[in-house]
Amino acid sequence: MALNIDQTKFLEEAMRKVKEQAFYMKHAMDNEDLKGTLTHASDMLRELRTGLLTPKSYYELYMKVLDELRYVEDYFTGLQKQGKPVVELYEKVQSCGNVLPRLYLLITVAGVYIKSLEAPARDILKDLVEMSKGVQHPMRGLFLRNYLSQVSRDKLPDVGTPYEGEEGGSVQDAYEFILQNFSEANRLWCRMQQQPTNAHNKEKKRREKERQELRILVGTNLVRLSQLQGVEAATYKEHILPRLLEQVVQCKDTLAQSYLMECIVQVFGDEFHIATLDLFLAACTQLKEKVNVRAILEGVMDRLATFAEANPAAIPPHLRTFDMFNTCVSKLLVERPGYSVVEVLRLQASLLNYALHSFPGNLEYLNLCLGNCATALADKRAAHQEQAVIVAPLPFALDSEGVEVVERLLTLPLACLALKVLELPHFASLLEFLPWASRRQVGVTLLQAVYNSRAKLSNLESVEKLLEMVVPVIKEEPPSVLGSEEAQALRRQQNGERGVEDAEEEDETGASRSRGGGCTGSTENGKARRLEEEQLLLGRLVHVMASPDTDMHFRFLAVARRHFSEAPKDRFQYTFPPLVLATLQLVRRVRRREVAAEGADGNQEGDTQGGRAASEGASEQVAVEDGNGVLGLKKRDVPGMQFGCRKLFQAVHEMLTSLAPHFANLALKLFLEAAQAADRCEADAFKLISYEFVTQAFLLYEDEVTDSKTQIRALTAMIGTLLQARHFDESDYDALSTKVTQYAAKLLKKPDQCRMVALASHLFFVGRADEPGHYHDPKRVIECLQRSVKTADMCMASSQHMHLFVEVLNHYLYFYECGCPTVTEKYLSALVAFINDKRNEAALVGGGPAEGSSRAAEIEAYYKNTLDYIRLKKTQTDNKELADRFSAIQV
Amino acid sequence: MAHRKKVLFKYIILGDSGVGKTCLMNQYVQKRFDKTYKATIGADFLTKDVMMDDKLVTLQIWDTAGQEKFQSLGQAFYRGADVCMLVYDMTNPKSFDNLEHWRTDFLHNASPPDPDNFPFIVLGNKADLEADRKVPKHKALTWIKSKGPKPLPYFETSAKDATRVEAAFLEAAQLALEQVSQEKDDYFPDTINLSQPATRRNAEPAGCC
Ligand SMILES: Nc1nc2c(ncn2[C@@H]2O[C@H](COP(=O)(O)OP(=O)(O)OP(=O)(O)O)[C@@H](O)[C@H]2O)c(=O)[nH]1
Ligand SMILES: [Mg+2]
Repeated sequence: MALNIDQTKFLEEAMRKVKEQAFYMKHAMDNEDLKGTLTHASDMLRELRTGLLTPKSYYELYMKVLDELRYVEDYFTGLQKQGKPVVELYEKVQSCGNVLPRLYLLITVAGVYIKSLEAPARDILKDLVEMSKGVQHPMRGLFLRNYLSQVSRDKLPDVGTPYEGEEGGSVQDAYEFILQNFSEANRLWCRMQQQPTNAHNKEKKRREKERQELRILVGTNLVRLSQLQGVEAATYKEHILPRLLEQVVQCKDTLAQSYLMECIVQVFGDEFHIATLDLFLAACTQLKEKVNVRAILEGVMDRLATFAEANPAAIPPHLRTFDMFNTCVSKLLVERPGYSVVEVLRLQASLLNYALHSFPGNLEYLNLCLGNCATALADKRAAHQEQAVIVAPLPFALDSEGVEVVERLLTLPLACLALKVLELPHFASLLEFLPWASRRQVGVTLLQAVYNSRAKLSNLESVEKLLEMVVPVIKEEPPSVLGSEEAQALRRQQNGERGVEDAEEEDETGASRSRGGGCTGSTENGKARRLEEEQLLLGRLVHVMASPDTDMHFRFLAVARRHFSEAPKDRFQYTFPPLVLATLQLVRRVRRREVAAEGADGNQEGDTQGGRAASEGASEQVAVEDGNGVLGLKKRDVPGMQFGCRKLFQAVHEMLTSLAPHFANLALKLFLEAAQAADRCEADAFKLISYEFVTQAFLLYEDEVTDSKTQIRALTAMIGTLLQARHFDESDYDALSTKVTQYAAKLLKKPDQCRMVALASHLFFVGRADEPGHYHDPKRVIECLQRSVKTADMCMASSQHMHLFVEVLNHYLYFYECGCPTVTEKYLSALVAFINDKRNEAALVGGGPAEGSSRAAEIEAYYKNTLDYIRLKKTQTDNKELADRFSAIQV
Repeated sequence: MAHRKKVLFKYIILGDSGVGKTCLMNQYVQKRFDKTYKATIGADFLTKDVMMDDKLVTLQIWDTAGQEKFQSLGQAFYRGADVCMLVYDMTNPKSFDNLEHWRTDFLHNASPPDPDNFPFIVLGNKADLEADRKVPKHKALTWIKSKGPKPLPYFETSAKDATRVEAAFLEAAQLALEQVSQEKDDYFPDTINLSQPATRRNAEPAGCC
């Protein structure tokens, strides 16, 4: 605090003096008074000798002085233009008393001198850089050299400048000058640290801070070098970089090494780095222990990777840049055994990132990095276990930082590799070091990457491997073998300060107790949503598996099923439906093969009793019971095919049976799907299977479905399934249809009963009267319809009856038109008359516009349309028979 | 007295690293463009003489480091600026979002006498990469209108093919010219200081110049 106030005071005072002297200096200039000008300029510059200012304050003062020195330069230029030889000025200035002001003035004159071309740039610059050694105070020296660098910037004998030539020198003189100025500046800067102190920690810190602030004064010299037009990659390689690196390595100063290496990377162009990568990397391994070499390497790698991406083929492949970086990293690891395992992992992560960007698709490089990490961790674990015998009871686990790096290492390559990660043997081994939650995260990213890549899993090994990798997405973490306290300690270690989800999960119960509803609800929701998303993602995996061989395809599904079955049951709802549907899709393909084989055999049902399957290999694996499972199947073989439709249906049955207790509605729907698929197999042999599936759906309906809306949806699906079925035995069909009709009649609400029974009536008269082979039981049709009319009549109170009447009338019409013999014109005429009566009644009671007019109008229109339809049919000329029949209806 | 009559304008170029500040300056002063990135360290100027309304004007153009790690000594050089050029890269939305930060930082550290009317000029650079443009023009237009009584002058430039670079720098000079009447903090002695040793002065200071 006091320091700040003092600083302001010191600075203000110095500024005031500078302004004052500058004023008199300019006055002297106006009076063409050279001596006075120099004296005041010198007095002004004397302020820069202060030892009271911090670097930042000194910089302000220096800036002010520089502003004023510009007038001096203009003044000298003026004198030169008037014909005064600059050499006179140059010499005159050297007689100025004090060294610091003298050098500033000298540099200012020198600028004019060089610009006038009256003296060779080379000699003057050499002079200046040498003479500047006269200031050995680090901060003053650094600023002075910065001034020298600033003034000489546009006066170097670079290629294409007027200062280049026999006398003036060449670009070599230019870079020699800058290199020397740089070396001197760096020496001053490093010396600051070595200045004797009472080794007070606070003092050391302050000095370190000051050095940090002053670092740009050293770094700008490198910028100057990079600005030289005449320096090409070869020169840089031969003459410049070696000198810089020597300086960096030799100075043995951690701060300087870190900063300067970073500057070199940033300040010089990409081509230069490519040309000198070996030199640079060699120096990297010679830096002080505390230098963050990884940051330096990352800097170069980022540059090269960006460059390679923008200019493909710009880096010649024979350079093998990856190998160079890898060698450098290996060397570092050998020479610095003190590196923490996390640092080792991070180095590998940088390397991997480089490989990914510069050599996309090179699996070897990626595997190498992952392998290095796995080895490092395995070593660490081995060491840990040795120790554990004596002290630590906890198993080896990464800390939170380690977890983060490994997670990154494994996630980075996914987007670009997708399924190809399966070809990286070390991917899986590294995965094992992660805690469950992180593995799950990696798994989710992997799945997403796989879908994005649109690649297909087409061999059993990959399917197994991939599912193994995503096990943490499938299952909950298995209970720890550790005691709960130890497990917690372990978790804390892994979670560190990252509030990862696991920690969230853990305190959830606690939170709900202490904080009450709102907040917890939302995390719980969030968790549920996340789970749902992940499980849906997982389910999609089924569609990524594909094989032209149906047996193989079925094996894939079986493996997936085995894994999915190990999940908590509430996840089945997401993962089983895709499995079931995929199996049913496969049924179509398998069936085609079977049909083809049957045709070739020339005997359709002949080998139903045929011998047992030659290969039973996958039987226990997929838990398909041979022969007489639940479905009462008998085996039949297609040569070379192991899994026939029956086995597939068996599998479906099992899956749905395990799904049913938890998700009855879902299972019901899928049972019906399965029934349809079996029926579509177009063979009598499958009618039993189909019947079994429908029966299962019915049982579920009876036992589990209680909600009205769901019941209606289920019944509609059942009726639809039965109507589409073609292969049931008549007695079975009859039994099933009767059941559905009974369900419909038992619905809780009258309007529902009415509608569903009417719908069920269709089960008893499929197709038209003259179509053979369809199930026709006209008596049952009229029973259903009559019952519907009765039920509708009971709905007066809710005034829904009118609509229901018209609906049923339409069903009647349908059957009448189809030629169902029980549905006669007598019924139709009666129903029309009946409806007309009801309408009149309603009008009398005064159901005027008050009673939901728009709805009433709607019903009226519906009724009118229906009657219009009858009238139209009466006049239809192209079907005389139909017209005659309709004419019999009295409207 | 010719040397004292010379007009000097101080430009400060600010913006995120990589937007092309150095390239803009090099293109304007040296008619050069370098496609590889070379970081700027600290702050550094180039000068260029131009004729404006028959007057010789020296432009002192300060190029600055966009990377924070290369800005260690502070912003003392903002002082006495006549114009500030705020540069963003049209292909990099973040660099546009940061303009506000650069502007505030400038006003805070340069403390110009009339901050509301201090001349800023906004450059959307890399116009040659129109196909990769990520900052829609209307966003830039909205921003420049929100920064003062009058919209800030705005140029879409390319340091690579020199498009509108000259125009932008000249517009900046024009703005500075309109401001020049505001004198900078020149020193005037409280009293004519006669106690100055006579040897250091040949004549009485005239009090004002
Ligand atoms: N295509 C294109 N590239 C440009 C343009 N201007 C600059 N660049 C490129 O952008 C990169 C950065 O340019 P610089 O001028 O060094 O950026 P800067 O703003 O000075 O960056 P710092 O010094 O770090 O603050 C270089 O690779 C330039 O070649 C331009 O107008 N068009
Ligand atoms: Mg720059």
